[in-house]
Amino acid sequence: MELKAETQGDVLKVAVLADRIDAASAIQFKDRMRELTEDAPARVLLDMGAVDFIDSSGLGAIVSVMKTLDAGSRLELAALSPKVVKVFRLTRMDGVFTIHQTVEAAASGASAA
Amino acid sequence: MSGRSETGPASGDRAPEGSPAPSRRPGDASVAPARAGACEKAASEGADTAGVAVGSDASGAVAIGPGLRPAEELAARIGQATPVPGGPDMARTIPLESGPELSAGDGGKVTDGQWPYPGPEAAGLKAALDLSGTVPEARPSPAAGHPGRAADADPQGTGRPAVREEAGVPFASRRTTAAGGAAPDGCDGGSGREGAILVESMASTSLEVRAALQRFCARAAGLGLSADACMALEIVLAEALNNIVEHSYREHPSGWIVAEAECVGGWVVCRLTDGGDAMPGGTPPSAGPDPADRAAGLPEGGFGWQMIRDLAHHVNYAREGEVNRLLFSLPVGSGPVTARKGDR
Repeated sequence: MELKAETQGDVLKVAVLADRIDAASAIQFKDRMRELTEDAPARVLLDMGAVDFIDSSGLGAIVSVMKTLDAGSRLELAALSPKVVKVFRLTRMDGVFTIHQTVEAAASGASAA
Repeated sequence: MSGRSETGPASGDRAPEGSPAPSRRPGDASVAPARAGACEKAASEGADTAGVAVGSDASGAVAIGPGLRPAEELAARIGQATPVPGGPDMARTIPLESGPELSAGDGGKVTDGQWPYPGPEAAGLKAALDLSGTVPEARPSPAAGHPGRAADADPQGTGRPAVREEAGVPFASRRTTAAGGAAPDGCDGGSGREGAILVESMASTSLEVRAALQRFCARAAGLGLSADACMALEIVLAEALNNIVEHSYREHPSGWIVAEAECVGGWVVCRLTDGGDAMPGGTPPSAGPDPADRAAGLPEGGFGWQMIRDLAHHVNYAREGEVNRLLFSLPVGSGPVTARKGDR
């Protein structure tokens, strides 16, 4: 599971460079994210633009990452594919995360809602 | 309801000499590789043959390819017990027509476990299962360790149904014969191609599930499903298959899983078969993360069955001997599937 991280101001941007976060990669994703988000700034933005599909394991991993962030940080998501959006909707997790249409929209501080 | 039929002793503990299918005896394994090439070449004709054999194609123009059984034999075998995947160490049989009780319905009002149509045991799927028996399993036999493991002593897959790598072949043939024209290549048809079949087999690892799922869903477009239905199919299949890996086989990598789908009466009907542990309590989980998890904060699991229950219809689980069978269906048409089930 390849992730690309860069910090811009108070935002840590993490791009997922895989097309699936599924049962085969969820644990790897979670472990890698935990490494990257240690001492994270106020906002962690997960760029999901390359992710076509996520299953319940992947979703659980994202929830887990959010829960282990430091108290001062929050996890936001951007650029979700239609399939990924569907999974978030079905599990009501779309109401739990701040979801941005695009990474650019997230950078400007506007949320999808 | 045709129950599970035994063709061997009740213990099911015999090598497949007791099998009613002579072509699947171990002694035939030596000829299987030679037949395999012919089967692949003739697979499309074989699909027609199978269709005729079960009376679903009225053309009567049967081309029997080399290496394939004559139509009469196919017809005679259909409805007979088929060896369960797993091989000699678990030489049990399940009849193709077993499964949930089927009844004609109004096609609309259905509840879990009731099928408004003849179901996945319809002619096409039977034919696919039978035809596939002529193609040997190429996967190397994994190590022993789980009662549902693939057969070590049976690398030709004499007891494994539906292990056809070219899952789209029967459908590709069918759509030009039965459907009378080219099917849409994209995922936007929304009409469903009656009798279209997909079959994938895989070992019980999350990587195998991923690969099989990608192959399966790439071909699902050819079934004429709507984009929504394709999406729902991928989500439900992923959850159900990964549940089998995780719970039925408890992450043991040498189990087998077969996934089949067929378009029937406006639905895509799926059947997942595995040889792992039975579902606790004999029923699928109802839905959603444990309320205690919700109360304690955000749940990190339990989403799988929530999504299956939201998206899939006619969810039906059966334990047949030492084999699990999960059946469910999805509407092939367009429109938001979640809305359709949301008011349930």
